[in-house]
Amino acid sequence: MMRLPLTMTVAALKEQEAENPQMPQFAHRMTAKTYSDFIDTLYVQLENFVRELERDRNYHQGVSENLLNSAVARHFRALGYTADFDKNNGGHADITVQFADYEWIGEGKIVDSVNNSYLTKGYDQLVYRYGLGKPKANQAAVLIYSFGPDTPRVVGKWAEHLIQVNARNAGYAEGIYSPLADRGFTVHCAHAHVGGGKLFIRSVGFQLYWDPTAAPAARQADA
Amino acid sequence: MNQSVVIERFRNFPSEDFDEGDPVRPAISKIIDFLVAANPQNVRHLSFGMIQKVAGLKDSEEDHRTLYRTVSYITGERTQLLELVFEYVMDDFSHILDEEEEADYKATGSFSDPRTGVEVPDSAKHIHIYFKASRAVLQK
Repeated sequence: MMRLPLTMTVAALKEQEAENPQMPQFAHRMTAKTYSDFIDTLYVQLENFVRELERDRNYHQGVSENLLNSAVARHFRALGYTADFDKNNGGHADITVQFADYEWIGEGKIVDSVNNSYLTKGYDQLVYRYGLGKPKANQAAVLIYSFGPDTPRVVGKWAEHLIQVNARNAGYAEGIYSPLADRGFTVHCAHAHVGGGKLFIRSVGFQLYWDPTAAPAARQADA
Repeated sequence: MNQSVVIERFRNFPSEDFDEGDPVRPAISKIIDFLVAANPQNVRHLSFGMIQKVAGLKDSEEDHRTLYRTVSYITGERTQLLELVFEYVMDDFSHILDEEEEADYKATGSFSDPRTGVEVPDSAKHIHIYFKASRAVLQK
């Protein structure tokens, strides 16, 4: 329940936001002490976008990657961030979000099933072109717009692929794990940036499958 | 950039960033009208309640959401229509943080009582957020 507190202290506002993560995290954003605070808040707000998009997935069938990526940038602009779609940043990153001197970038990819080669393109763009290993700019994400069935399988196979590549090419994707709260949909790892430092990357799955006619048939076929 | 150009940009941004029927859009428009017409002295200490009233929003849960989304947007880096004012309030004493104090508070999360120099425990519970028209809006 969203009710603004009577006393508008920083503490009261932050408490209100913590209880209503679907709301703009305005006080958290404005009082972010560290890059880590900025990133934590950004991912809370990205999660809100994921949920909104998933709720409206029936309206988004067949949309383009550019449209989805620009919608992410728009979402962050509406929250008060400087956010751009296709901004030049060592090349053109799909999404760039900035606040003060903090920066986060994202590459969004549409997949219909397991497609590690296509996701690798997005990942490699982040690690070899747009991303940095330096503080205040070393967080990025591959946004996996999964329009096919079984998003956890898509994300799980992607995680397996990263593990395999890292075994051959140490530092490509270190410390891979999926947080318990979002198991099957989010994978974290770190890339040892050739320019120095580490780029921390999350792969975030959006569950956008929607085909009410095919689902019962698929279930029957499985039975 | 003169004020009319800046204001025109402010008016255009919401149409790019919000859907046509989004209640944030008319709320921002009303706030801009108010800020442009107001005496600069009267827009240096605006509360949530004042912004709510100016934006024509009611005291309902839905309008509180709109208010919060509106405030989040117009204090953002893209529009910078309003700037934050941090005011320390302890009993009958109040003190508006200057730029240096504000930067220090944001960087550390701690604040020292200007009367004593002693760090205030749980300072976030004693620092209130208000708003003021940004410099861009006030350059009349």
